[in-house]
Amino acid sequence: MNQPRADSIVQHVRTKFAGALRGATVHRGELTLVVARERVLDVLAFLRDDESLRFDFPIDLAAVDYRDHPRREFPERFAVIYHLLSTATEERLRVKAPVPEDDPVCPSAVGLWSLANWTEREVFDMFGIRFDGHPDLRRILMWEEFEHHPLRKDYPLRGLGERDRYTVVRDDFPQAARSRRQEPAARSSAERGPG
Amino acid sequence: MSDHRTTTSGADMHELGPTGAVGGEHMVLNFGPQHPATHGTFRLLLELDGERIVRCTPYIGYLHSGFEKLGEHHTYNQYVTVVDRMNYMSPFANDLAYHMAVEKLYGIECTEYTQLVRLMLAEVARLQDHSFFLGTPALDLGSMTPFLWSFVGREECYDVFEFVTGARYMTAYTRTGGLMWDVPPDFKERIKYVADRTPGELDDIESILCSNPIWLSRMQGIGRITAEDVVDYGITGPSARASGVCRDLRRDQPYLGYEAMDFEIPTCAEGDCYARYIVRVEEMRQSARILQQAIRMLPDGGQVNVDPARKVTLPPKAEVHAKMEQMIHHFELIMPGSGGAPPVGEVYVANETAMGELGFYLVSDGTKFPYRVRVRPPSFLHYAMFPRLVEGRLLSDVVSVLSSLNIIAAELDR
Repeated sequence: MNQPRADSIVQHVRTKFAGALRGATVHRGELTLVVARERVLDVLAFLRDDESLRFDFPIDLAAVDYRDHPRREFPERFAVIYHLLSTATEERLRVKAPVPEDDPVCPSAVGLWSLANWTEREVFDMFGIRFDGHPDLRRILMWEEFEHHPLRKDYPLRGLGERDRYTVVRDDFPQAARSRRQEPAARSSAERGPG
Repeated sequence: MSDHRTTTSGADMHELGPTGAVGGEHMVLNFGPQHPATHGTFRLLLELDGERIVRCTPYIGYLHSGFEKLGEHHTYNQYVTVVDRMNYMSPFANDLAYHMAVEKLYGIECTEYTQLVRLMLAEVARLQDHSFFLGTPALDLGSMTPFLWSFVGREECYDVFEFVTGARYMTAYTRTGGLMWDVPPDFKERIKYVADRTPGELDDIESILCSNPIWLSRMQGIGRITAEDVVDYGITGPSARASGVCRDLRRDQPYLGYEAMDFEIPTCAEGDCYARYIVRVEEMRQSARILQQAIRMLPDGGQVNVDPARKVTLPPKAEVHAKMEQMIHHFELIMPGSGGAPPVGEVYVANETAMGELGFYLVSDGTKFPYRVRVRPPSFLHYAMFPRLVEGRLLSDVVSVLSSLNIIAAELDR
């Protein structure tokens, strides 16, 4: 996207959403808008429906944890990232909605595009950001009882020992119980040791 | 302390919604995660009224390996080995999309020679991927012969990658600014062999399948995706083109030199399983056509890696042992530290892979390790549509729709 077109898009959005638009940057030809989370759905709908914009195609919905980033654009720890595409002009656009750590909530975009359904579930699973209005906000990649949010910067790469506390409960059918008595008991990886 | 409970008796009963008449007329059936027709570990909880599916709940995450988190702990060139393992049907396509994003982050452009080599291997990867989905829908529906035939073609693609990169499968061939090494001298002959034999193989497989009444009745009219669904769910690739949405990044946002290639974008209006199948077959023919053109355009040699200042590319080993500067560059690039890092910034780059739009959103914090790697996974987004396509239909349609959607579990879960 060239600079004049990016400027005109920013101008157009700013005239309608002056308070909500917190920033706009162009880097490597990509336009990024930073929008207050309270108004992000309105801005996305405007980007989609306005005749001169027509960013109708949802590409992706993700999040970033900026806790360790050296050059923070905003004080909030997280941001929900929306990538959009215009099928009419083949232009791309990125919208960021900052989300604070102490109130990790963002409105759900499910009403705009169904793509948001599973992608918001993944953001919730990985970052712990809740989406207001999501019909079925539960974990999608990790198991239900898992207690942490793995893509946060404070969650270590190798986890917090979940593998050693992984319990399997079997329904006790008589045949299974008989054959289990003949097997050696399963040992956890902590007992087995390294290698 | 968290407990992960599994039961052998079948469904997790507490997960059934308000319509779940447990003990009433509906049967709850677990489809997966171990099932020959799922092509990967994912699970469907099906609530059935006889053969008809009342409700379908997908459960994924069985293959979740934290690829995005791993991205934060590997350098940009190391991570290509992880990226291979996402869409494992065409690993090179992942390498390519990833490294194109990295190069945009660095602000580097590859040489024309490298771009053409990458384009050719990307098309071989597309053939490789589509070859799998040529035969496996047939296998799932009970026809074994086309499956075995399609794997012959797939093995030819493996051979190309083996001779070029050393690995049949997990190629890890791209590097920032170029490739691991130059292609071997007989590269053009090998590509020509694959491109020449593809149309004949497709004719054989089509002749065995596409006039077969069983095939047609189990694939036509099943699993219809409308054009509105395509935009609503962000469906891309052959699944979108089979629903009449004629978009292809190779034509609409060309990269790697696709603008110089003459090829068609097959589309179909029906949007059913059969449409997705024939769109893929036709794409394979078009890929062969692109390869024939590229072979004529490829010079006999060229500069593979850009980067005379050696800020991102490793110097040749012989020079590392003999010259001081090259040793320093080698050290800086391999050891943890700040040598060879991109500027702070973020990019999103997408390629048209066999699956659809595969995009990488990379956030850099100015160090050698990406700050965040987000993979835009087409399989994940397509699978989100799945319950819509099978609810109200028969159990046997689950298999047809699943195989036609091209879901790769590792890209789904990452």
